[in-house]
Amino acid sequence: MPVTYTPPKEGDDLSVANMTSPFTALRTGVNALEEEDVEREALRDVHLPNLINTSRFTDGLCAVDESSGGFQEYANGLAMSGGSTFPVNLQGFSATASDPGGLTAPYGPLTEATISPSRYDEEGWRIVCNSGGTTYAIEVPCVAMELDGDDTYTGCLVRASCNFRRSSDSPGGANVAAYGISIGIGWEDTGGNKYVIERSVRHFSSSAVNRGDISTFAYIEDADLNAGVDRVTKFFLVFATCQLTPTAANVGYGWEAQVDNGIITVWPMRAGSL
Amino acid sequence: MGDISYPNTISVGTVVSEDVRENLFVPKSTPDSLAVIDGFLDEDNLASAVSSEIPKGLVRRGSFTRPETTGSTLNLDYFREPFDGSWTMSWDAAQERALAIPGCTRRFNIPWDDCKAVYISFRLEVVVDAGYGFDVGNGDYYDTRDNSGTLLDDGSFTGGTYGVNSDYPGETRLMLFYDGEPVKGVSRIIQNGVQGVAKPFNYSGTVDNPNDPMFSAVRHWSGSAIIDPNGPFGSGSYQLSASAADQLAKGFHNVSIRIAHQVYQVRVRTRHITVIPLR
Repeated sequence: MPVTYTPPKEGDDLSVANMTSPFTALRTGVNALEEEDVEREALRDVHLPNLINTSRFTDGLCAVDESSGGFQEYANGLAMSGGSTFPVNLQGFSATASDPGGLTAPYGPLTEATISPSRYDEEGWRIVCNSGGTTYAIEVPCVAMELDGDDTYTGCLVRASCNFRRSSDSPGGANVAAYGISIGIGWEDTGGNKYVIERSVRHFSSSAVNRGDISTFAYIEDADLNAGVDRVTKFFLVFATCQLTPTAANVGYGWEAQVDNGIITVWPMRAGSL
Repeated sequence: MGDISYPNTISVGTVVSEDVRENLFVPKSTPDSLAVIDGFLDEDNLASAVSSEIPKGLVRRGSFTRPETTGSTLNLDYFREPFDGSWTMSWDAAQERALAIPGCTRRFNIPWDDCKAVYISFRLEVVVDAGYGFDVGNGDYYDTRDNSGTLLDDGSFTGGTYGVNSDYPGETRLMLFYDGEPVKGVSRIIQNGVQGVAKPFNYSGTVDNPNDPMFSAVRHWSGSAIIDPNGPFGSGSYQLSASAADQLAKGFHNVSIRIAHQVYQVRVRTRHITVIPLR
């Protein structure tokens, strides 16, 4: 935007009428510079807006498990799409009400499960959370927003991980080939509905990652928010056990697993029109 | 900062020349006069459309991010000696004695005044040699598996008279440090793995293979964290002592994974630590 104004001429009165118009024009022009208004590359990084505006993430861009040594025992198996048959339902959350610690489904473990191979206690994802309540859930809330640029960001790079501490079947055990653990990244809309980004779901053999870290990530765009219809209010980490070699005899077979040190990071992106 | 709102309003009555001079030429502590043209233009002076969608032509290398990374491939062996002494393992005690791990340590520069966040990502592998077990009754040494061949993962023997050698009683803990302070929650207790990583000591005379596919003893830690003004690191038991704003100040900072243990030996293979300041 060019700065156009009529400068006072020699002999003009120093009047309000003569001053207001050029001052206003100068202010408007300089306060709305564009690249073409100045010499190329004259504008420096201080002229650019910040890539991240953290005001949309009032609780920060990161959530960690603060238990520092505690762990949670999960006994939830992935839900099946049709009763007890494959394929699994990757959108199913546990609906079991709460556990004695006051955690409300689907947050945290349902019970203090006993480590031994047994059927699952429940079906569906649980959001990783220690027994301290949902305050310590591995989730990052945000001011409700679309991811199409209208609400600042065009996407969010979300990474989440937790430590798989122990399984109910030791490495080398009879059932290790069938036992797996699953994690994924989920999000919640303004109506409180929870979803899982299915491409973020990772299944691990309990043997391969025994006592190690399991991680996943996803770049979440507007199309992931129910085809851009909804707005996201939080991102979170979900966990479930699963079986890797389903048979008719053990479909739906779940087991207990211990998890600790969950963490999630959200990196909002302003990619603009690429 | 450079929003030109004018220090004086010229609207009614007699125009005062000093007011005009201030509006035009006088640098103000709050830069609101046209003097900002002399080197103080910034984001406030851009068209509003730029704030919602940054045009490609404005992007400069290093304007938004300044990523740095470090890694190594060697085995790094941490024996018990640096951690000797009579002390009981706890997070506080471990933090006081922790050593930074080369390959997972980085000193980096934040070049801007308005850094919004620092993204940290890292990955490393750890094999913990817990030493050897001790049969209290018979005075015999055993490796770290029980009679059924199950790896004793938590450093304690169960069932019968097996006990842990008192020379190696403890655990292995890894922690993320930022500017020399532990970052709460970004830490790991690494489970024991094998006996005899570097020195065979085993009643059977064999050396465990930490990469055994059935009894893998390699523990992985791939983590990430974001330091930002609103994040979880400003309060709680393992917080950064200063406000996050200090952690994001212009200048040099450091980040490291540190280790403390009370076992015989810990072998660490670092893959990388990556730091990305975000403006």
